[in-house]
Amino acid sequence: MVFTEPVRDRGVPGWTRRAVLGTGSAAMAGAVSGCAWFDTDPPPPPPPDPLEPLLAATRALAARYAAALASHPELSDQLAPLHEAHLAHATALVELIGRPELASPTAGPGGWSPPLGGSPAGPGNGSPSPGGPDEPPEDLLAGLREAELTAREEATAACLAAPPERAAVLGSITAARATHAEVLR
Amino acid sequence: MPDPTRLADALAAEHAAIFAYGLIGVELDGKTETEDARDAEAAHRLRRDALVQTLADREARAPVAEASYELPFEVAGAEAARRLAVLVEERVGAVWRAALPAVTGDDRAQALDALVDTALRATGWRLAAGVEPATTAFPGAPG
Repeated sequence: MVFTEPVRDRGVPGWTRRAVLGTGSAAMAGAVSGCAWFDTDPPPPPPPDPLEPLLAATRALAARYAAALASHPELSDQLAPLHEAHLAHATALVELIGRPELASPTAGPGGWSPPLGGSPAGPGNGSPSPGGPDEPPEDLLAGLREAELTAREEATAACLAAPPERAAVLGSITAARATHAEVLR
Repeated sequence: MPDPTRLADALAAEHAAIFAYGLIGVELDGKTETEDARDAEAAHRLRRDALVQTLADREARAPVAEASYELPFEVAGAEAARRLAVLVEERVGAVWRAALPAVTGDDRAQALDALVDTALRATGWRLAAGVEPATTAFPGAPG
């Protein structure tokens, strides 16, 4: 059977085995079905879901709240419910995407970024680092409010572009972010 | 083809909200809160008018306002009025949220805008009533 020959020996420069398979497999599907050699290739990853960027941004926002809570525990009454809401939103987005492996923040392509705040002091210019313990609470709250307004716009775009089965949850996430910005005034 | 039934549900909810704010407004005493109630009622009237137009454009059935609506509790005093205002916004928000999957394009944008507005007003009334937290994670969601 012709497909048992190593693909890399066909002398097509720069073509990976996967790429050759990708173009050839559709036409040859009948010929290769049941071929054990074909089965050794891992299945291609699923195409990225349009909600994955929103999930990543939601986790980044939750991490920013976690850092703010760590550096300013006196703001816990105000910030903890908002932090919990973003974590709940991330869980809801994973359910919408329907790929449980994304439930772990470290899994998935580009699924998570480290907290934006709370890192050790940046360039030594003498000003308080954003999210650090010496950042004035009003600055911290203003920064979070800006982030919520941006996040609201992102959720709005996702809701308006979403298929019916996703629209309601994305609508709630949009509305929640609007109210977050309101209570951070 | 968008389903106008959900928009008709939203119109029925807006009628009820307008009725409720008529009662809420007279029970609140502070100038700020009275104005907030008036603004909220005006916002619901605008939603109502837009929906009547939308449904007329679709030649869809548009429910008319009832003469009266049964209230979940007696509204006597400012505290009960704030509580009713929170409830009204939550319930109207739930109807708009339920409309989101049934509509697309401009109708989806209108429904989302309405859901966001109800959530903002519900948060405002919770703040006025001293309810904590003043936000919910999934405005309009059942449960």
